[in-house]
Amino acid sequence: MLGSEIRKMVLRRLDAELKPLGWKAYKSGHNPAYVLDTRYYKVFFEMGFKEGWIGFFYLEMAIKDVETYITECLGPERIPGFSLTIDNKSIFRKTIKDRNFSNYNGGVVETVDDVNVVVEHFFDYFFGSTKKFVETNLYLPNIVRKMDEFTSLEIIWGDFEKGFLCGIYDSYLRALTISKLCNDPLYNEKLDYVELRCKIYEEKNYPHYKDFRRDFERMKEILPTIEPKYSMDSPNEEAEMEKIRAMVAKNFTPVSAPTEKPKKKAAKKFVPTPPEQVNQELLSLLNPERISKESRSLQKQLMDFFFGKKDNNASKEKTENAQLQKQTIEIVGCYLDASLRSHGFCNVHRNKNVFYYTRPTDVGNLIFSFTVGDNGRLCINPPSIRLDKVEEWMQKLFYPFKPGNFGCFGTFTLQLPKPLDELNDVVKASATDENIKQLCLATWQFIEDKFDDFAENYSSPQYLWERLCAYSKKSISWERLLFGVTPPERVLRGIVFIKLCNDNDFEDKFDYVETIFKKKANDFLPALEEIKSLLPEMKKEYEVCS
Amino acid sequence: MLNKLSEATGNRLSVEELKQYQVFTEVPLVVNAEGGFMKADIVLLKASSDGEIIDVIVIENKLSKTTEFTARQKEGFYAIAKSKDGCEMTVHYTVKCEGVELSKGQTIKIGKDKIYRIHDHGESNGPIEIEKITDRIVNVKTH
Repeated sequence: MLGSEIRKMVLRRLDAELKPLGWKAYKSGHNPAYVLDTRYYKVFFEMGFKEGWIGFFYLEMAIKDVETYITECLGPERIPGFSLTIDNKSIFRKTIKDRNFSNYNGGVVETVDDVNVVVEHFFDYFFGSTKKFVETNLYLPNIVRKMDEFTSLEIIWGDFEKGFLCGIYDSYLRALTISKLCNDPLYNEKLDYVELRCKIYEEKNYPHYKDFRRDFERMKEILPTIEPKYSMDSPNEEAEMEKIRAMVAKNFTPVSAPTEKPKKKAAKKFVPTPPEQVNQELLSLLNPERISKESRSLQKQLMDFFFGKKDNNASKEKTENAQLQKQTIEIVGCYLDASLRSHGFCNVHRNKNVFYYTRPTDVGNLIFSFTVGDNGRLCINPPSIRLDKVEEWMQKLFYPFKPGNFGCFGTFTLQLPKPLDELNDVVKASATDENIKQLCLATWQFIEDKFDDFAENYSSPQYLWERLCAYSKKSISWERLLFGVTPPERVLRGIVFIKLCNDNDFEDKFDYVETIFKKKANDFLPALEEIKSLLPEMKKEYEVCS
Repeated sequence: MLNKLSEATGNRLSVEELKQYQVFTEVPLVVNAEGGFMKADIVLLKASSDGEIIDVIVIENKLSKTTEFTARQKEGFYAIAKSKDGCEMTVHYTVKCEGVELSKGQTIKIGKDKIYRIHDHGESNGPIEIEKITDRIVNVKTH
């Protein structure tokens, strides 16, 4: 499965489960993140997706009682060792991390069932171990105990490979703050230890520790002002923990049973729209000049005048053809118009014999088109997305069999399912009303089953780019994904798109295409050269992350 | 490969020392000063016992000696190769390796003598060659 497909499925399920519990999702970055912000603490986790892979990273928690003092020391914006500015949304200082959360990996994810298995295991871990992690560490004496355990093992609290406190040198400032808040009897020893570490770092002159001395001195002024809130040997520890558990439960108790699988969409039954209720926009395209009654009668008069007097046979044939075309359009209207409109395809156009519905997106138009021949023969074309920027650049190129710049042609196409292709062939052989209706019914089913995903996926340059890359990896020709009259034209489209994505491996892909063209499509080499000369002008238009 | 890498460092790093490095793959890096983005094929990272990242080696995996760098790699490696005191780079998004993470936003410094190119001529059992990436190599390929 593609990374984007896995991502969509996982986020859909996480959203459904976590959002009702107060979690916010941040999905715009490369790795989507979820954040829970409560009065006393904030939890953050993020995950990554690749083809066939889901990975979770550390789960991190900010304990507000602690971070208030760290902010007093470091100011509101910076995180030592990081070039990030705090926005208090998904970027904020964290106190403690759960490394085990990161060890939880999805393994190889090939199917929808694989994704569901991973998500369910994730929820098991999340509502079990993660909840426990949050509860345990919100009671700060537990963190002090862990610090002492690490000290005895001679592991640094914020160790890069094993540590549990967040931060570079600021992890030491956190440790002291927590120790002070807990009225830790070993506080002074810890203070001495940090003093020693600070001296060592000064000598070693590590770049990330250059502000340690300055910030430690500032912290030493703050520490005496911190009033202890806990005690290391409180007789009320269990009661305190009970309170914490009740507080955490609000945000860590699943609304639904975590093993519940998403329900399948109920199968929709086809009901043709009665002819009188079909939107007339499509039909009006057949004879645009016949929209008003007056012009309709004028048209009739002219038809009668010319065809009636000049060529009765030709007139008869034309009238018959028009009638057949009209019948087909009427069937398409009854079967598909309402379904297309319900999927947002509300603009109807015509280019010669191609009729097409479009749905605008941020990057161009989604297109559903069909061809109606003069004899009423219907052919359903593969749906597509027309990426405006790609087509603008394609217009600047010259190559054999270049089609006109028509809005009915997309950039990326979605292959029709085999039964639909076969029905297209049946209608091609015999365009009876019955066959056309069967083709329309199968198309209706296709729209109902696939168009939600088609619209979402094909509007996403990230998805399209991943598909292209996946095809490259599996040595499947790009041509199957792209529009073009000839195979090389499709490849040119792919190369233009990849350039506009600012793909890191553009040069490699370009070289590969050049090699293939030299062997098999010499006529198209000049177009490739044109692309080469235009490269400096072709700026990044689509945001993709590899 | 570690033998070859050790040789490429002029034996300044022994194979045993190299084994102590964490290996990350496909690390997204942004050049701090210029903002350019590159993805490093292999990043070897060593943290001190203090937890501080003290050494970073970047290895670019190429099919052959003549395979060109991508435009972004040229920018990134050129920035490192021409730097006097190492080039500060930021991890663009979190990556991990065997339970250890390089977090989004984390800054790392890469010295100009710590970037290498490896190629095996496209043969999995073929001879591996490692060479240091210099500003000359990147510059020649840039212009």
